[in-house]
Amino acid sequence: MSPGDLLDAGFAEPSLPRSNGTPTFDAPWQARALAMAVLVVEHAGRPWDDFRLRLIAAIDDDPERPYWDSWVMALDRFVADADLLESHE
Amino acid sequence: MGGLEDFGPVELEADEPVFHTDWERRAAGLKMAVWFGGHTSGRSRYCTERMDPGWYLVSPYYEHWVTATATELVEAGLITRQELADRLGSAFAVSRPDRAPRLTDPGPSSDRHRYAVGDEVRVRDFHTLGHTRAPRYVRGKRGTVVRLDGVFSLPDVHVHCDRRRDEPTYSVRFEASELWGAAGDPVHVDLWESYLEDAGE
Amino acid sequence: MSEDHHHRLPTTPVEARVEVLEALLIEKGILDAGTVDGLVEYYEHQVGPMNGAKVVARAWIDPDYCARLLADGTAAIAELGFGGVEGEHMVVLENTPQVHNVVVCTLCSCYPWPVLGLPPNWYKSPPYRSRMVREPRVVLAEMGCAVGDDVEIRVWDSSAEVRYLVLPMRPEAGEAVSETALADLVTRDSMIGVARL
Repeated sequence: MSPGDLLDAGFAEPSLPRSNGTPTFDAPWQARALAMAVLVVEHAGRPWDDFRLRLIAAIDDDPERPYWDSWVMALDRFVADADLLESHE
Repeated sequence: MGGLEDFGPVELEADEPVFHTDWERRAAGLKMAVWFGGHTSGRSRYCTERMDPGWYLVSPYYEHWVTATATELVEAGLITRQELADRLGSAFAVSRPDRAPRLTDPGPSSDRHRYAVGDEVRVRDFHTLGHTRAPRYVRGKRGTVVRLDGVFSLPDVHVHCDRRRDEPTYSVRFEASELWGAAGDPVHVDLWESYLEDAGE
Repeated sequence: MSEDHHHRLPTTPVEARVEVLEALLIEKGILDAGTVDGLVEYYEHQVGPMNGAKVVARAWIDPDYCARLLADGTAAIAELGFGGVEGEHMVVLENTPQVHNVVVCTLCSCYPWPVLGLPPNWYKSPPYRSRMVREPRVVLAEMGCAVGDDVEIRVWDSSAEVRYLVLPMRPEAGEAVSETALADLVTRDSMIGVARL
């Protein structure tokens, strides 16, 4: 499952608890996104800041966007930049 | 626990690691994975509060996480005590049973702050068998609203009810003279709206 | 099994109970080991006080950032890429020559994970939780933090959803110092409020 799939799966979930219309953290896909980012960055042999800088850029791009959505976008960008797309499901 | 006496000095450890042992590491990981994974219902603090008091005080912190997680999942019906005991080879210690009544009516939600910064309020002097986030040391005490915070689910309700009640929260400042009857420094406590009433005269 | 038996001190070691609980949850599909490992790695190594230190250093260097930080802690902290669980509602408390802020959670152990990581044992201990609201000045002195008699100590009990970060006063550094070097000066304890820099 790619980071983008995680994002889609999250919004497709009808039962997600929401606060002011945006999903709160009680969603399985967010836990997987967190764990996935850590494991992917480690697997790529890169420092965590490589991911964090992309997260900063994603948040800066749209500060209103929920934190976890920016997280998934940053992970998507990291994976693309690190050229890891050949590791399919 | 605020204001209780008879506890000694704060014990510090130089260069304390995040986890002292591997079991703590696993305990933290599994509690967070269960919580973030959406398998819990916001009852973990209440489960911790129901640990046998003696056990709670002597056990290492992360043992509270192990116990609360196991208790919460058993109470949610996702695992059973028998399953735990079968694997452990003896009874798996969990928290004391929940004695509070279930609520059928959560009460009205509200997203408009009743109080403003500067208002004098009093914390209601209530007592409950169940869960609350109103610290005992401020019950019945008078304070001043210093900050308006967001609208959140009231834990006193969602722990004991299938539905939730959302209400505004506040930071309220209490003078030491009011709390302890002696001069000292003020304490600010974050409180849900239904904990508060008008201070009156 | 009698109910009574389970409410006293357990007879099994906690290590065994953790192992059993983890194995059962994996078997039931409630957990997967990869997620657990990832979360442990993240909270042991990727989050910690070094995050908060970057926030503090930025606030010291950039007055506009400082203003944003005090107005909306969550958004300003997110500008540096920090956020998430136990940091969704951040309030930053500015120390001044007249006011010294200190944070406690008397009810349990609430702490601003994204900027400080997981809390140290003393923060979660009964002595700290019970005494910091009752005699903050004495406890701070015991912990090596001397606060002048003319300085007001404000204790903040994080009993609801807000999580607090103390913005310590910038120490006298003489020459202009880089943001990175400033961040190195910021200690975890100064961001909880039990130390001054």
